[in-house]
Amino acid sequence: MKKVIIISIATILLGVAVTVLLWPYFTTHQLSIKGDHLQSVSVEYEDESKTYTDLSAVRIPNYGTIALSYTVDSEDYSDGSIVVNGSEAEVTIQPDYSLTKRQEVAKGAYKVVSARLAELYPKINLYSIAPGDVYERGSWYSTTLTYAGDYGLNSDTLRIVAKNDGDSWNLETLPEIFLTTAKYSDIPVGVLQQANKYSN
Amino acid sequence: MYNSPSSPKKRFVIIGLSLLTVVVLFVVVFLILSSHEGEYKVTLSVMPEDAILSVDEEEILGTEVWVDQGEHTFSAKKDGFDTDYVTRTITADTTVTLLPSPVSDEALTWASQSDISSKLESFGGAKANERGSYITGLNPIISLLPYVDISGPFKIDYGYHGADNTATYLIIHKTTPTGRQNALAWIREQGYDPTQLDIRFTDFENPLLGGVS
Repeated sequence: MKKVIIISIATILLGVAVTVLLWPYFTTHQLSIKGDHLQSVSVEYEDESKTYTDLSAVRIPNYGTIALSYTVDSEDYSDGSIVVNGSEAEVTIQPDYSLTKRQEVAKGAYKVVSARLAELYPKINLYSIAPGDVYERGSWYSTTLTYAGDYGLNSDTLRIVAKNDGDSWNLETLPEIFLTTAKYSDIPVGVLQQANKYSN
Repeated sequence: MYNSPSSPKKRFVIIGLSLLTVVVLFVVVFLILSSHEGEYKVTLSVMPEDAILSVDEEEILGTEVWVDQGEHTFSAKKDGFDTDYVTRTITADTTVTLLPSPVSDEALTWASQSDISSKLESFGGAKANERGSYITGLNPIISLLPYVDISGPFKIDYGYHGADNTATYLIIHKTTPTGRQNALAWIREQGYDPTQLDIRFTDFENPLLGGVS
């Protein structure tokens, strides 16, 4: 009789232990991560965080909103984070350039864009051109033209966006006070929003 | 009492069950085909009532039609009248008023009758209200306009453009460089992203593009 009780308790304990061990596999699923220059990904959900260096082993909860923060393997790129839904099975993470890399690319873009503006607009000397910034891994560049003279009815700061075509930078907008998707539908809205925000 | 498989009673039951199955199948197929899940009911209100109605260039019978979510063009045509076309992005059950304009002598005589004339006026009012609500639905910010800020200083108005004049643009004017930035800030404060609106600064003369510096 005693033996039966011991075996029963052992069986129950084994069942509980197996359930506890396997529970995370019932409530999570594998997340396929595409992207490059990723070193690690941390899954953050309800005050818990788990870091994976093997990106093929990343698992996320089956429900809720999950924050994924990532680190990169190169100084040219920056760490960041994204948010995914628990229902997602695949996600693409493309880390953007680091500040240093952005400044380096923006410097090159600035020279080309400034020269192009001087060619196109004889009155460009009325403005001082800011160093600008690049977006989407150096695909786009925007800068501001600040009026250098006295404040007047038309002394607004102007904005301009250029696109990297591989070898050079092409101006994609006119110098304007504000850039909108209505007028520049070929430029990603995020780039226009950044260009409208940028001031330096 | 025993009924063999070929007995008349058994045969009657089998035929009855087969017929019932066919009827049930017909009912199920009819219910599936007549289901309007994922569609919206558009009621067409038209004057003259005997105009030929079409949806996306397909003639329809009656004044009610079920359409998928998305853009659809409704039209009413009749000899002696200019066909009226209305394009709407349908996202809910709605009414569309169609009012072909009389052009022939006969049509003009018809329209000038006092009872018809008052009906046409009422239809015209309904059509204008319908269009106004539709445009406001597409561009909710215009319900806040015109807006004037004397200290800004700026004024924001709006205008229409596009093929059917339902797209809107905002006009920021009566302002200064600081006022223009204040106007953009006001738009953001109202919960709109100015980058995704059509904004025109009508009294700005761009010094680089030949304006006054």
